[in-house]
Amino acid sequence: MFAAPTLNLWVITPLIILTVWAIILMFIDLFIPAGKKQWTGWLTLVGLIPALALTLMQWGQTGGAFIAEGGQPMVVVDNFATFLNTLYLLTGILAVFISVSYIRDAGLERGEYYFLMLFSIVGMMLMGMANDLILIFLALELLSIPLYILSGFDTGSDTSEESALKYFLLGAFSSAFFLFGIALTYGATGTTSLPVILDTISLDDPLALAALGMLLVGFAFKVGAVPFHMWTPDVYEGAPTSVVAFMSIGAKVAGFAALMRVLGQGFPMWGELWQPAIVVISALTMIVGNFAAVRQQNIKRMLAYSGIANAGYILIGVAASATDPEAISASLYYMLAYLFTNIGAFAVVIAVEKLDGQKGLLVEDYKGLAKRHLLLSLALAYFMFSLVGIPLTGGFTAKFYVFGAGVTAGLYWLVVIGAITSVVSAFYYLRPVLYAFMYEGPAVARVSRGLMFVLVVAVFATLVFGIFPGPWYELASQATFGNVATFVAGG
Amino acid sequence: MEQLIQLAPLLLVFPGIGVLFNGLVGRKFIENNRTTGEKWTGWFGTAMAVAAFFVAVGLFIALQAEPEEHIVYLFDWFDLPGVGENGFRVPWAMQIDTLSVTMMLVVTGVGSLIHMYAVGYMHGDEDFSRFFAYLNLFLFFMLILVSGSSYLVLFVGWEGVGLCSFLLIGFWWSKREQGAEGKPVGVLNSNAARKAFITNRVGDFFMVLAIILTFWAFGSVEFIPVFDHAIEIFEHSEEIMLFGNTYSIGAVLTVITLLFLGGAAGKSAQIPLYIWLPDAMAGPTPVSALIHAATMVTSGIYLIVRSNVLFEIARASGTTVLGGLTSNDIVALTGTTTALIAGLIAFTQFDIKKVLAYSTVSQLGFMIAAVGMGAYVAAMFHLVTHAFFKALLFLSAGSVIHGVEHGHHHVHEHGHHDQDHVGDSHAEFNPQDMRNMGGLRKMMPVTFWVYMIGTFALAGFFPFAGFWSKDEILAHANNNPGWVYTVVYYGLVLAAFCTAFYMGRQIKMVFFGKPRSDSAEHAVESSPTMTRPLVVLAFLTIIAGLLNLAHFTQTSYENAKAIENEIQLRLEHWLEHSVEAYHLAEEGIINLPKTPTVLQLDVALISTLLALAAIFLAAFVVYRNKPEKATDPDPLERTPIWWMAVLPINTIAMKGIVPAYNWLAYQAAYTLDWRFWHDWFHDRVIRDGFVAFANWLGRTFDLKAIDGGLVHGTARLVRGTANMFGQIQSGYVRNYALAVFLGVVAILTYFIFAYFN
Amino acid sequence: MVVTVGWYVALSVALFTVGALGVLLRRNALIIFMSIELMLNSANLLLVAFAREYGDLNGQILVFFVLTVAAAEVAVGLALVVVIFRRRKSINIDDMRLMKG
Repeated sequence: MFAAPTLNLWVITPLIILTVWAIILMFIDLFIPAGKKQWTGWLTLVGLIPALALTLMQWGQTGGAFIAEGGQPMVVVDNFATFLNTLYLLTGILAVFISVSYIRDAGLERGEYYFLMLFSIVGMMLMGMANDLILIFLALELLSIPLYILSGFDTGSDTSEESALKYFLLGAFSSAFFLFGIALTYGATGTTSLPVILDTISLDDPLALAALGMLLVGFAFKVGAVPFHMWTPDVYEGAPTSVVAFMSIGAKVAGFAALMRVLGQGFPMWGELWQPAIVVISALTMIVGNFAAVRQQNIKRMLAYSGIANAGYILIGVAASATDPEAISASLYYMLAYLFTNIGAFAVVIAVEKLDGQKGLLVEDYKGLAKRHLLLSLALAYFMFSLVGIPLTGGFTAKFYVFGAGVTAGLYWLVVIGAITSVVSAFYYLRPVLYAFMYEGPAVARVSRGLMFVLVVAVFATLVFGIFPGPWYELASQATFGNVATFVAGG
Repeated sequence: MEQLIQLAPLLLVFPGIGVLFNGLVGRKFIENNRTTGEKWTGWFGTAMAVAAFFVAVGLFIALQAEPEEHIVYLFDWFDLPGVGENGFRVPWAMQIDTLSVTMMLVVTGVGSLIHMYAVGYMHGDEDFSRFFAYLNLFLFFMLILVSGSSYLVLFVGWEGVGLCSFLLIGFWWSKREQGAEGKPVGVLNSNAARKAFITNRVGDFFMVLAIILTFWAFGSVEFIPVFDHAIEIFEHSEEIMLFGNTYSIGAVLTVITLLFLGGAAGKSAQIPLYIWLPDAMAGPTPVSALIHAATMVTSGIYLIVRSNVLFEIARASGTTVLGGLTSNDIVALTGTTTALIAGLIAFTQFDIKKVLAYSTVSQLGFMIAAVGMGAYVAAMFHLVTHAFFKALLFLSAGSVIHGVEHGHHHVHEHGHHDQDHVGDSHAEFNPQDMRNMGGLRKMMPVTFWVYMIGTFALAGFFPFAGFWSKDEILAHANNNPGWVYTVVYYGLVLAAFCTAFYMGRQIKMVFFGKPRSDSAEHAVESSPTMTRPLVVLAFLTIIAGLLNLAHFTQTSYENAKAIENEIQLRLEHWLEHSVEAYHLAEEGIINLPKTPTVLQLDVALISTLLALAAIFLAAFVVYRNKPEKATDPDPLERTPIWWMAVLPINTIAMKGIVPAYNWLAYQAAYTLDWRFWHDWFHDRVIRDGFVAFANWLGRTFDLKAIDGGLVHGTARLVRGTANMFGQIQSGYVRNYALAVFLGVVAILTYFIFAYFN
Repeated sequence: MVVTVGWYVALSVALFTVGALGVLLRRNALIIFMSIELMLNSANLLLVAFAREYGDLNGQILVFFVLTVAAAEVAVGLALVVVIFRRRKSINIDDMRLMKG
């Protein structure tokens, strides 16, 4: 006989709202005539905004859902999860504003775009909330499958299809490794629940070591860490730009969420063991990402490599957390600041992109932009300065914190690599800015109202993070595992 | 008085309003109506600078009553309890003390005059409002730099002024006229801007390291806590814990101060990072005057004066590097070398602004040498007087260029073209080339006279400002024992000689003789909007020596002391309140090298005589009748026999000295400077090296290693050894999968390895 | 002979390796899907074997989830392949190298 599990559905109310609304929206969409599909887009916000409000209300609360008798919950909510959920929902809302005009102009206006995005957000949120490897696997797939479809959303374009297939094949390949890792963990411990793994796993078990290695692969793929990064440039180049803006933040943050959760809650006592692996991956990621970006001509590819490089910086905080769990807060803050800078940069890319056959995506195409669109060019410059990490931008404070965390943890040479590579990054980030301001050229841009909104929000947020990082960092440091009461079953 | 101090934030508010006004609506004004629009935007920007100046004056008045430092707290910037021992807390606050107010007065005062001048200079420019927005933005950041109460706030200003410098050097990026090397002028301008930005990043990197190290060593980045903590540790001979080891405070401070020197070398254009400043003259002339002569480039000196406590403790601790040099000695020697080499290079320039640019590098070398020797007041004194006379010289040069350009247009409108003046052909005419000038004193009398005043001040003639400030540095070097001081003294005396020589050459070529081009012949005096600020600056240049007038005799010094009526050495008494090193020296904690309070007659005489000799040599000997035509070579370029006979010195000795001297000057200019630094080092080593490395890495990591090295290799290996896996071909998707796979293998190998260990 | 869990692990690792090599070596997108399925199923086998070993249902439940997910993946993957085949008349993944560098 099984005892009925404790449900505690309040924990997952934001998820329920999103899922139910996505399904309802599928039906509503049937009644929205073609050409008016922007309504589906705006209606998406009806699900996203209440979910965000509920998520914000969950701040400071701790709880678990689906708790079997005497067992551990499948889903937990704590400040860590709430913090990240807020990031996904903000990304989602900003992505809707970016997408509406973009997919209309690109001739991709179909309603499924939006509810696929909603499902993907649910997957992302589950990544950070899952307390069980089964659920992490499901969340990973729930987040990935809609993204595969969205990457190939432009069925009329060879590159979009190609990027979808590459993403799909490699994504499935890496999730196979991940699943095998789960199976091995299960074999080593007899459970898939993270807290129980923590209690039972032993360092002497080669099975457990192999399992940890395989799990790492799955997350490293999602965050685009070297050498699992190779899909990123191709997918970013080929997929519709609005999708790239969404997934370059959402999927990456979700990968980090699960990585931090698993390393920090499942295997924290093995810090000495996994730290060197993360350090090496972080160093390689920063080096390869930044250097490969230098020679890119296509701005989406460049931002893809930039995304890889930034994953390397975030990994510094993860590596530091091996000795000091508080160090996670630096990475969390980095992702918060990166969210706005990155989505702002993509908004500029979308504004300049001409949708007739992939034009306007080369760095060259930014020549003379400042002559006609001064404010847009200034915004571009500001985001690029933020990505380089020049003071008075969110990017600077973010780098400042992760480097600080690295130094505190004694990872001096990793921080040195980070500092050197961020100097290198100035070379490619400044190129579009130079082209926009210092050359004559025909560059034109269209800034729709939605884009305008996103640009204003992103500039404002980047500025706020650049000038008043204190309170936000404080929030991030409240979201570390050290500050979350260890969850007690049935609580 | 305290209320006056509380007005300090207005200092930032006014330029901020100017940026917003000119940046957002200025363009609309100009588009509506060119004439009134220019008036509105130009004078609004100027008014904001003047308003900031009045705020600075208010602070100055307030400090007269209470000269000790005041901290005006604005808001909490960083507050991280978890970082470092006692947390990382940096408020955004302004430190109002005599040092920062001195800088504010210079920045806003000279800044206001230059704004005023720019209204005339930029008249008719397409991007008139953008220019004023940038200028106001520069003032904003420069005031953040000098008013910050911590290294971090200072660094924000530091980066901000660098950005403005970048924007303003490249201001005319769209000019299409043909420039050097067959490239459009706009491209050259952008390249200059980029070079400035990237060179400055090198300096910034040292700054960041220095700030981080300061935080780790002293637990704060705010000036006062850092200095107090450093003094306390030094007094108790404690050690500093860093990275798990203990170090003596001398060692730590030597590293920090050397890193600060690296930062200052970037901003203040010291060897080897000075390469960007001559190129920076691509910007509009008001920019050269304000940013690249009077204010921004002096921020390195400000940084070192601000950190005087750290530098002096480093000196007092006796820690030496490089075979017996303290970090202060290295600072002093860097400054001296720069002063000398830049002074030599200035000989060989034909561009009127480039001569002044190298002169600026050289004078900055004087200041850096002064701070290195512990002559903080003398350095600040020279900084202030230099701000006046170099701004004056640049603005006058701008007026000259303006006049010659005007003449050029006049000639072409009236269509008479004289075949004699080859330099005047339309495609190549360069209004900044001194060979195209000559005889301008008749056409531009006001400019001529103010230029002469600036020249006299720069060359160090009594009683102009430069005499007093330069003399104070030389006297300081002469008055202290030790071989470093001797080297610095002779080096700087030689540099002062060079200064007078190239300035003599310049005024001769520009203002005397016959006009060497039609454009020069038809040059006209600039408008009063431009000449009025020149006259004000000239006036300031004449009297600025009063700021820190030395006593003429020992008796007057003692008398003044006895009756406590000190009209002399005002700057010193004023700055003593913020240069903590003086208090430490009084308390006997450190031993600060003393600057003489009485005028050193021998030093003053030697330097004046040398300057006179040099200017005489240049104007009346070397360039007496030369060049006659714009195409004539520079006399120094040719064999110098023709004038050697004139000199009553041993001809044989001169035969050795002069060619060697010429050779040195030209080597310094063309090999060391252009070929070596600009072309060879910059292009070959830095740029090509970087590009090659990036290419190599890019190809190796994404194409070669995976495609060629691994996949093809693996494929060949597998195909060669067995056919059991079937036909194998490479394709990109599989390459990516292979990378994933290899990653898995690497991670698993690592864990297995860890397991067996 | 007693079939201990060790045998299952060995079989599963072998299947997984075959699947991984298939992904690395084959050109046809469909075969690559199948190889990935093989990898997933080798993990399933492992889960079931361990579930029996521990007398625990969780492993078997996970297998059901994996099967469901795999079905969804195949649906998406096949749809992509069909779309691509219609345009290019080929599902050779080596032809898909429009983007590189």
